[in-house]
Amino acid sequence: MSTLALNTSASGMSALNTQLDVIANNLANANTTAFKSSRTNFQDLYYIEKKQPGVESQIADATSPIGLFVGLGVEVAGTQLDFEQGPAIATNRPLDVMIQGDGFLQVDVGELGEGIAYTRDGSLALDRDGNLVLANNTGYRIEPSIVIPTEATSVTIGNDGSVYYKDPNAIDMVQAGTLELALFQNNAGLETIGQNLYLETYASGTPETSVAGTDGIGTLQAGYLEGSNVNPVTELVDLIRTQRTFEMNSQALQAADETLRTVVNIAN
Amino acid sequence: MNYGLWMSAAGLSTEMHRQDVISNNLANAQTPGFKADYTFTRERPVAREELGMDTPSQILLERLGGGVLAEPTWTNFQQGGLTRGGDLDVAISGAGFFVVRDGDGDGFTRDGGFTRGGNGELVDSEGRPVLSTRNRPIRLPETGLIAIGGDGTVTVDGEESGRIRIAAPDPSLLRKSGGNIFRYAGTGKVADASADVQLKQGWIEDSGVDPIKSMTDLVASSRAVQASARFIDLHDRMMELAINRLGTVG
Repeated sequence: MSTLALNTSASGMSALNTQLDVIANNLANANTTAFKSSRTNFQDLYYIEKKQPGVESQIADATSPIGLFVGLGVEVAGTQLDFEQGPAIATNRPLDVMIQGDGFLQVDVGELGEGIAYTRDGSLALDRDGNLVLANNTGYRIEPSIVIPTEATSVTIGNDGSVYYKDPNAIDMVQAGTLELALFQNNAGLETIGQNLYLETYASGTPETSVAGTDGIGTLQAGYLEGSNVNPVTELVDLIRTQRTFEMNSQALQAADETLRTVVNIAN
Repeated sequence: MNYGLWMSAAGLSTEMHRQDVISNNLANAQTPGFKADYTFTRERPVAREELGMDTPSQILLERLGGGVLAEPTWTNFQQGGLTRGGDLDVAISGAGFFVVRDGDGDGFTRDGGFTRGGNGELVDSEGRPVLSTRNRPIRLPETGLIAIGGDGTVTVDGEESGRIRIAAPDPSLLRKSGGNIFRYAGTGKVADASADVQLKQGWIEDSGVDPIKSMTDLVASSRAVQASARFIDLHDRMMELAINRLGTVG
């Protein structure tokens, strides 16, 4: 019965609509610091075994071949984050750090999740108490916390994440602390919560924290930020593909609709 | 006269079945590793033959045949195109399947969009572990560069973690079960693919749906529906004439 086709095409249109949303979000974030593009994964829905169409039920068993199956459409299996390294953007700002390789900075987000969120956006700043925080409207504190005394004149961050400041009364730089990076088994399993932040999930595994440059964790580059890893060309190609596939599904829907109309109007 | 009416009705239902299958293909036009389904029809034998009756029937009607029957849905296992993917995307070049395990047993798939699972195993997009040649999940170290060789050998920073199994079940015994999975309907052990079946890391296999063929089939099917519906209409009118004009008494 063509009502199957109606629902099947609808499932296709709905899944492609999700893909359109994902592509739109990727393109909207083509300039977001350390943004990671997402990809939509599709999978086919269940299959039903049908009776031979047009055969009266009492003799259907005699003629019905095995394997007259019909699929019921498609669904989105999930969206998958692509953690490929974004391009390095030189800012020459001492408190901008780029993670070169795997790893995430940790921030204290209070009540959210386990209290810790993870980010690759290394644009840092100092708040009025001298805490090292994220340089955005949230101002979440870096974990473990690093405090720079208010009298410090300059701050530098080393490749291993050690944070030094210049005390006007001392000759040598003083170490205020070390930025620790977290490493996950499965980055793609992290939950995105916006503001360039990720939360740990069951799929991501529990993080292991370590100093940059050790245990497979990447190194830090001060004066640089990681750009978005969205590739506008691939996104636009995907956009065209999605749009055309959407149109084909809408044609199939119309064909099924037309068929039902024809059937309804047979004895008219 | 009613005989032809039923034949047209069978044609109509068969075409609607064809549209269901085409719609599913089009809905999966972007599903990785999807294999398109095709419907075929055959001539239906007359009822006397079908039911094994000895009684002679109307010779003229017998010559017409018994209408149309849908053949089993056939899946086209032809190799799909390859698209650039991420580091853990793997495409099979040649006839073979990845083996993944879930609650229902082993599943066969051509969708090689893998990730590193939360438990450190190589898993597919649904989190099902990908099996090695030893039929066990492949455990990956926490960090390191993953390289997958053409023969399926997974090495992380030069250290071998396992070898992805490429199975070669008889395609005619595979049944689709959704979630990009085929189940083996046969019995016994499934053979491994031959050595010329290679894996390509960083690529993903496209859906095997041919959009042009699907759309033309859809148009053809729509027209066939209209033709059958028209014939049902004609049969109806002929009966109307027979009953109301020819049969009018006085």
